[in-house]
Parts: sequence; structure tokens; C-alpha cells
Amino acid sequence: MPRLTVLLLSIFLSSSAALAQSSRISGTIADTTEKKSLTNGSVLLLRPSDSILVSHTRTTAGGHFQLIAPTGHYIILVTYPSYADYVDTLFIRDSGAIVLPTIGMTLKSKLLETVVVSGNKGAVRIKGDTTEFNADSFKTQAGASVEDLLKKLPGIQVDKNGKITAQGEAVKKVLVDGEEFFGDDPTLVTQNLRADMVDKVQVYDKKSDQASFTGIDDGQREKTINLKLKNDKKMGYFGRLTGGVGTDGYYDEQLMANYFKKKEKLSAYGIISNTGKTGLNWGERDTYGQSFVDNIDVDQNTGSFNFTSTGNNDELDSWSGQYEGQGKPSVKTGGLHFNNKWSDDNISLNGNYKYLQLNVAGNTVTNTENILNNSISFNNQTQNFRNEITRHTADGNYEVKFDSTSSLKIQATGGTDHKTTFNEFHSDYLGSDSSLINHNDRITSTGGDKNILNSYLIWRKKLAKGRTISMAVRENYTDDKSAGFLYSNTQFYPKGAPSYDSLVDQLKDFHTVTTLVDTRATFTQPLSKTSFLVANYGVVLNNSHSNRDSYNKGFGGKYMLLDSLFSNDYKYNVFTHRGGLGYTLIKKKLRFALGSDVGLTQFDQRDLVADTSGHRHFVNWYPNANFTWSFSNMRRLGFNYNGRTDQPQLTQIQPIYTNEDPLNITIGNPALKPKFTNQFRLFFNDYKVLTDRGIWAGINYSITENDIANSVTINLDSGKRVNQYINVQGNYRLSGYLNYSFKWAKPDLRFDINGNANNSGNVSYINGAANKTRSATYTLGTGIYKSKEKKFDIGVRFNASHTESRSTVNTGISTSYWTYQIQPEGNLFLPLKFQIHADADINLRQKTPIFTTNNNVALVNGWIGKKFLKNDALLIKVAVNDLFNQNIGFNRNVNSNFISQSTYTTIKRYGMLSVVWNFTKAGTPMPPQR
Amino acid sequence: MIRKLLSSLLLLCFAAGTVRAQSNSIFIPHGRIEFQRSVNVYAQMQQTMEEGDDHWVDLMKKMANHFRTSYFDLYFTGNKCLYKPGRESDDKQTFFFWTPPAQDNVIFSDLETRKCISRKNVFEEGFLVEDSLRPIKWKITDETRNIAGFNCRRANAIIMDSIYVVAFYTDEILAEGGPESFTGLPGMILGVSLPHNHVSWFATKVEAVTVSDAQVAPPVKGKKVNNAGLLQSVQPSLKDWRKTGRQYIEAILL
Repeated sequence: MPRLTVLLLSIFLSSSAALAQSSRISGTIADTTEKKSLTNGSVLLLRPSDSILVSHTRTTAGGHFQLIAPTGHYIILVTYPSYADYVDTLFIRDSGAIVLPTIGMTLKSKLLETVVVSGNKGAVRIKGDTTEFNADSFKTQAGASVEDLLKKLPGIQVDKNGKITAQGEAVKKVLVDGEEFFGDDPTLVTQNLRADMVDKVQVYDKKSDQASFTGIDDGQREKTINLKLKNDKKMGYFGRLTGGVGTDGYYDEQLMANYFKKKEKLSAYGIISNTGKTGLNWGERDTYGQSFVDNIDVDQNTGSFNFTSTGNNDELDSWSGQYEGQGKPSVKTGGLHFNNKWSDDNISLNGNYKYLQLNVAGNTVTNTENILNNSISFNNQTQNFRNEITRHTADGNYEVKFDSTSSLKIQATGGTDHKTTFNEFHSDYLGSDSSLINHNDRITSTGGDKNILNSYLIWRKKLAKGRTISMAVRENYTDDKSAGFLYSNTQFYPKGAPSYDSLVDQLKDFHTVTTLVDTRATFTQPLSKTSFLVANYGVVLNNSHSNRDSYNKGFGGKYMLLDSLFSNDYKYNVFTHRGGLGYTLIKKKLRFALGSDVGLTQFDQRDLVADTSGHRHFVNWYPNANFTWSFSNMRRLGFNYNGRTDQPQLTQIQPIYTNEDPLNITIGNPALKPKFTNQFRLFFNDYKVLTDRGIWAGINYSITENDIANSVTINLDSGKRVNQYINVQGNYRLSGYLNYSFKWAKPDLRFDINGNANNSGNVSYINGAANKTRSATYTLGTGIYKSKEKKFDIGVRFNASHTESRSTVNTGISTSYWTYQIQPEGNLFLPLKFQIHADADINLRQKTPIFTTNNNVALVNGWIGKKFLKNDALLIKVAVNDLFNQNIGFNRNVNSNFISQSTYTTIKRYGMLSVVWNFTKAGTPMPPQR
Repeated sequence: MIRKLLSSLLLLCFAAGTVRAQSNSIFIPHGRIEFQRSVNVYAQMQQTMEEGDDHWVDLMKKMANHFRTSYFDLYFTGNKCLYKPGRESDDKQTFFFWTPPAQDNVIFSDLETRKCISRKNVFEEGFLVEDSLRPIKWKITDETRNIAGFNCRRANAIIMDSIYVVAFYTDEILAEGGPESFTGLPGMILGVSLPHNHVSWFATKVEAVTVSDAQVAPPVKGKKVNNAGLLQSVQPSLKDWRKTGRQYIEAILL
């Protein structure tokens, strides 16, 4: 019994204790003067320490309200529209009901307004209608808030409630870099806006939002303060030093360094290596050189972007930095880069200098099968080469935004190349019965200088009502001089006749100067909010002068007898008027463009020795159509058509006999017509972010009118070939691709599957008869990848590819073979900061009736390394390249009626010990390792 | 003097161009509010910038407008609110097609049962999120501001442990709701800004019209999840996206 009483008592006590926790407060609010009760007024209970809203309610019809709250101290706040706020403290001492006295509310209009005192109008820098203050000139305490800074600026006052007045008017809005600023509450947010983060304080009269939007001034002005923040980056430097020494005389030394101070950047690099690295790769160039992002121009109308360049720079830039060609290279290269921005990023300047010295030497063995009408012939050639190039290039980029409507961009590139080449050839030409038809020994050596000066200038201006105009001029100038020797001795073995020799011993002297000037003016006119018209007009001048002379030995052994068959002095000038019209429509899901340019081209060709000239006129078309449909952000279907005209090149049109290989003479054709290509493209992309599933598919088709091809005449008795350039019809290319990638969530594996098909048709002439060659390559591949951060990553790719080719000249012979490729790659991250890397490239190439060697290669590379120092700044690694010493340069080529396979010297097995040190100034974060 | 003040006050009401009754003690029980949502695209890009990326960010800025504006309508009647995309924005179309997720939410809030049903489009998936209304600890201040002709009071808060919110509410509208998932103030929230996330919603007009039940019907289509389930669905794919991923996750869970 007593136990039950205790239980009941405890229950009763605890419940009343619970009741004792909260109290019921009730009260009434009314208007003081008119004694009217106020319905739907707001009654709030706030915690006094931090003003957090604890409880609230609305008053009922008689102005009554009821609230339940735990005991404690509160602030009670009562609000009613047009009435002044009522604020009081409230102490709920104990539980039970509390009835408050009636709360009297007073209309705001009955209280006096506070009067604002105007300050003196002092300004530091006036920019248009904007008064600008440089924040750093007004000293504040370390850690001072923005309000403290504003108080110090002349003409600006902050009262005790934080209300800001500037130049006598209350400031309606405070912006930070254009976005409205709501002061940070220090009890909630620690990351406040501090005075030392502010670069400039701008005070101006902002037009009303309506006026800014419609462009029509309604006379309303709002005093606004805009705070411009400083650029976060301060100053620092970082870089990377690599030293590698290997077996068999291999070495790899690299130094890259970068110094930056706010928007200014200065970087330099130097590479001395013979392992195949010849320059900066894509990622290194972004960090230590000029990022290609600086060369991207965004079209303000369509938002599309394109690369601007002075043109013709392909040779002056090593895109990959890895040497993938034939032979063994050794390189000394270095460069300097500078860029900076001024005046709020309105002026920017980029400058570069680059030096390159590259030596490549090696051997090549080439076997070719020629398919003729009713026979085949073979050519086996060995080549020994030594080439060297020394190159200096300097380029710069200057961009200025005069105001929000006009800008100017100037780019210039200049360079000089000095090249020397040396080649020694030995070849055998065999008939279908493998009998020897001719044997040739040949040496060619040249030395030359090439100078280039390219520039590009574009001026853009926005006009009223959305119109824009731009003018662009491009200039390319090339001066190419070279001189050399040709020494070729051939022994001929005609059937049933005695053999005979033929010797060619000549001095070659070539000088070519080309000038290109391309001007274009563009005007756009908006037709509606979503569409506009583009009109353009320009002239293009493309002049070349090529003087090629061959001299035979004369008296006294001097090369002074001009060989007129192999000499020519030629001028090839092309002048084009080009204009066009286009229509573009841009909507949320749809983009459509249609238009065409037309060019009136004039060819002026002059043979200065024979004193003959020819003039021709052409009308060239450049139509294009574009259609993109975006089903969603990540799913897109597109179609693209464009027609393009290409003029014949100087080397194809100059009527000269070229005998660098006396058994393969090429003749130019001054009657060549320009070629016109129709290109169609259809593509579909779909990427699902959440499941990481992607589909990329597309089909491309192009067909060319008047494509430039070869007409070959082969003398079956001597094996001599003569090639002439001609226009042909019907060359086409058809290709399709499909990529599908997805993630298998459970085992965390990524897969991708891809298929490609390429089909092309080529026309050529062989001994007067047309020959159509159809070639096709089909590839199917798949890849599997798995990675676990800081533990490992592995992947493997498989590819199977089938190539076939058939020519009408001899339908009995066709080429068909398979190649397979397996490429595994992996990284293992071990404890104690060790890392192991291995990769392999295994190629299996099927034999063919002609190419009886497999040339299967298993190329395996790997390294083991350990990181030292904090930040993992130092890496020491031991690497092996081509572990099984199997690397051979290999190339199989199918082209009209001949198929060739060549193998060449390349870098094979070596071991190397390298030290890589990433250095940074204390406090500078490391750049991304790409 | 007082009459002058009163008349200038009335003139201000007319000039603000809102549809309001002249008497200053009418409380609005139902109606439609148009919100303008503004995102500072450049500041968001700057936030996701990694070291050494500044010229990429400069390029992206050229391809996009400084601010991205969109419009939403909030229908409210009694204790029910429906927030959904409104009229087309006047922004110039840009090429920058990669827009973040959850930019066109439809959110139904029942202020009595404290329940919330939202339709959120996240990349290729449309989620139907059913959960309770987010409880927010508001800090009331003295600062006031006029939004769409209404006198609003400022309140600050922190949501999701780290997102700082500045809101302006008016006690003249009875429903205690607001745009997106912002509720719990003693009146309708007419302005919200997330200063460190660079996004804000401000009412441009308030219409005291009758609202039918059909106009505040909750969304029904979508993959059913609750807030925890939503986070679980997006975190695996976005965790590798570093700062951009974090920005997207915050936008999705708002």
C-alpha cells in the first residue's frame, strides 16, 4: 500500500512539475487613442540573449491572445500594421496562468520622424556618376568590419542603428560586387565581411530597377553603395624540378617555375631530354605557359566560342609534348611567359618566347605493294635519316575593353626556323615474279631558313538596339629558303636487254614567299528577342611566289647549269571577294542557323621564265545549316551541314617536275580547279549524372567535288613512276561512332564500350585508267576501370579492328587483316608513401599475303617510387621503359592502289632513376597535378 | 505636418503599384505572390574555383550572364501554400547550358500538419520528396524593409548547420509560409537571401485573390523519397565533384 502511494505521489508530483515548467500567458491589445481592439495582431516571445523566436500567436476578434511558454525571461514583441512596435521584458516566474495588463498600441504616424543630418560632400575619385574610394587609403583596425570602414569615408555616415547615409541621402542599398549585401549577424555567422577584404567603395545614384530593365529613364534614383572586393590571390610561386639519368645514355632534365602576384603571372621552363619529351603537354602549358583559354573568343550573340589564332601556327606548336614520330629525338627547349591584367581586367597582355633545338636520327624500312591492272609490283626501301631544327618563336596578345560596348584584340606571332636534313635511301623495285627491275641509291641533304610573321586584329562594337559590328584583319607572311644536294644512282635491269645506269647529281635552290591578307566586316541585326541576322563581307588576298631551281654540274665541277625541266619561277595569286548572309534562332531548347557565303575568286598564275600567264574566275559557295535540339540539360540531338571550298595548293599547281626521288617524279598542274566538299554530321549525346551513364553517337559523311588526286603513269619495264595532280569526282568518307559508358554501382566498376566504322572511296588514275578504291575499317573496343582513392586504380582496354581494301584496277587482289590491342594500366599506392605504376600496350597484327611478318609487340613500362617531405613534395622513382625490348615503330597504310608497311627506329628499352621535386613558397597551395 | 506624412505614406503605397486595400488593417488570408529569384552566377562560379583555375572561370563568365533570374508563384489560402515556377524570365539566352539542379521546384506546404511535399528535378530524375516542414530557429531583429508595398521585418537563421539565411516577413499576410522551404515566421516571408550561397527570392507583387483548392494541390509525380533518401540518391554521384558538388547538394536539399 505505501508503495502504491509513493508511486501515485511521484506521478502526481512529476506531472505537476511538468506543469510547473510552462505557463499560460494571456492578454489583450488595443489602440490607445481610439480604444479600438486589434484583431490578427502578432504577439512574439523572444529569448532575450539572442532574440530567437520561441513562441508566437495572433490576436483574436477582441484583441485577445494566449501563449504557452516555459518559465524564464523573455522579450515580448507586439506588432500591428501601421502601429509602432510594442517591446517589453517579461519574466515568467512560475507555472499557472498569467494575465498581462492591456497593451496599448500607438499609430506610427503619431510619432516624430527622425531627421537625418547631412554631412560634407567630400569625394576622392569621381568616375562618371560614381564616386569611388580606394578602401586601403582609409586605415581601420585589423579585423574591423565594413561598417567601421564606411564610417571613415568622407560623405558617408553610419548611425547607431547601422543606418547609412551618403552625400546627404539615406542609402537604400548596399551591394557587394553587384549583389545586395545583408550584413552578417555575428552571433550566427563568423565569416563576416571585413574592411580589409574591400578594394573599392563606389557610391552612386542607381536608376530604379524598372528603368535599368526597360532602358527608359523614369527619373527615380536610389542612393547605392557598391563594395568591390579584392581579388583573393596574393603572391606566391611554385614549380617543379625533374632530374633523370638513365642507362644507354638516356637523360631527362626539366625545370618549370611560376611566379604570380595578384593578376600578374611570370613563368619559365626548360627541358633537356632524349626520352621523347619535346615540350610542355596540355596541362603543363595551362600552368606554366599560355593557357589556350586565352585564345578562346566568346561570340556575344550566340554564346558559342571559337579559338582565335593568327593562323598557320601548327608547325610552331608542339601540341602533345611527347614525341610520337620516327627515330630517336634529343631536345633542348625552353620558354618564358608573361601575362597581366590592368584597369579592372579591361586591359590584358600576354607575351611568350620559346626556343627549341631538336635532333632526330633513325632508320626506316618500308615495303610497298603496288596493285596494277594485271600485275603487282613491290618496292622495298631502307632509309637512314638525320634531321635538326633550331627554332625561335615570340608571340603576344593584347586585349583592351574601351567601355562596355567596344573592344579590341591584337595577336601577333613571329618565328624563325633553321632546319638541316640528311637522308640516305637504298631501294629495290621488283616485278610480280620477284625479278629485280631497278635498284637505287640516293642521298639528299638540305639546309634552310623559314621566317614567319603572322598577326590578327579584331575590333568589336555594340550598337543601339542590340546591333553589333566587328572588323577583323588577319595577315600571314612566310619566307622559306632552302638549298641542298641530290645525288641519285639507279641501275635498271630491263627484260631481255642489257642493264644500264642513270645518275642524277644536282644542286637544289628553293625560295618561296607567301602572303595572306584576310579582311572581314560583320554586322548583326536582331530580328526578335530570339533571332538575328548576320551579314558579312571581306576580301582575301593570297599571293605566293615560288622560285625553284635545279643545277647540274658544269665545267670545273661547279653546279651552274640550270636544268630547265626541273626549274621553275612561278607566281600564284588568288584574290577573293566574299560576302554572306545568315539567320540564327536561339530558344531554350532549340538552336537553328542557316546561311551561306559566296565568293568571287580570281586566279592569276604567271610563269616568270616562260613568260606565260593564265587567269581564271570561279564562283565559290560556302553554305551552312545547323540544328540542335536539347531534350534536357544533358540530352542533345544535333545536325550540321556545311559546304566548303578549298583552293589548290602552290605545290600542286606549280607546273614543275619534282625529282627529289628520280624514280617518282611529280608534276604540278596549273589547270587545277578548286575543290568543294559537302559535309554532313548527325550526333546524339545523353549523359545521366546520377547513374553516371553516357551515350555518344554520331555519323559523318562528306563528299567532294573536284578533289585533288594523283594520276600515275608507271613504266613496267623500268619501274619509273610519274605522278600528276588532277581533279577527280566521287571521293567520299562515311564514318560512324557509338560510345556507351556506365558504372556498375555494386562492385564500383566503370565500363565503356565503343564502336567505330570508317568507310571511304577514293578515285585515282593508273596508266590512264580510272581506279576506284574502297577501304573500310571497323573497330570494336571495351574498357573496364576500378579505383579506390589512395589505394589503387586499375583499368584495361581491349580493341579489335578489321581493315579491308579493294581496288577496281585489279579486283582479284584485296587486302584484309585484323589487329588487336590490349592495354592494361595500374597504380598501386602502398604504405610508407610508395607507389607502383605499370602499363602495357600489346599489339597483335595479323599477317597478310604480302606482309608476312606479324610485328606483334608487347610494350611494357613501369616504375616504383616513394614520396618524401611533407606535402609529398619530393618523389624519387626508378622506371623502366619497354621492359621486354620489343618496341618497333610500326605503320601500315592502305592508300588507293598501294599498300605499305613500314617499321622504324624508335626508343626501346632503358632504365631511369628520376628525382621530381615540387617546390612552393610557404603558404602557396600546390597547383593541380594534371 | 502629420497630414502631409499620412498623405505621402498613402502616395507611397500607390507608387509601389501593389494591389492593396486602402485601409491599413486588412489582413490577407489568401492570394498569389510573385517572387523573383536571382542567382549571382559569377559569385557561384568563383566559389567553385580551385587553385589555378582563374582563367577558366573568366572564360565561363564571358559565356554567362552575371545574374540568372527566374520567376515563381506562391498561392496561399488558409494554412496551405503551393510554390511553383511562374512566368518566363527575360534573361538573354546564353550558351552556358549547364544549369544546376533543383531550379524549378514545386513545393506544397501544409502549415497546420507541418508536412511538405516537393517535386524536385535533379538532372535526369524527378523526385517527389515527402517529409515534414523544416523547423527553423529564427532570430527576430528590428530592421524593417518595404517589399512589394508591405512593411517587412528582418529575421536571421542558420539552416542545415551552415547556411546563413536572411528573411523579411510581413504580419499583414496571415499564412505563415514563404518561398521554397522557408516557413515558421509570424507572417508571410516576402524576401529571402542566402548571402553566402548567392541566391535570393524577393516578392515583386502580391495579389489578394481567391485561391481554389485545386490551385494549392500538392504535386504527385516523381520518385518518392524523403529528405534523407534524397541525399542518399545524389551524394554518390556528386561526392567526386568537389566544391561544385557541395554547391549542388546544398541547392538540392534546400
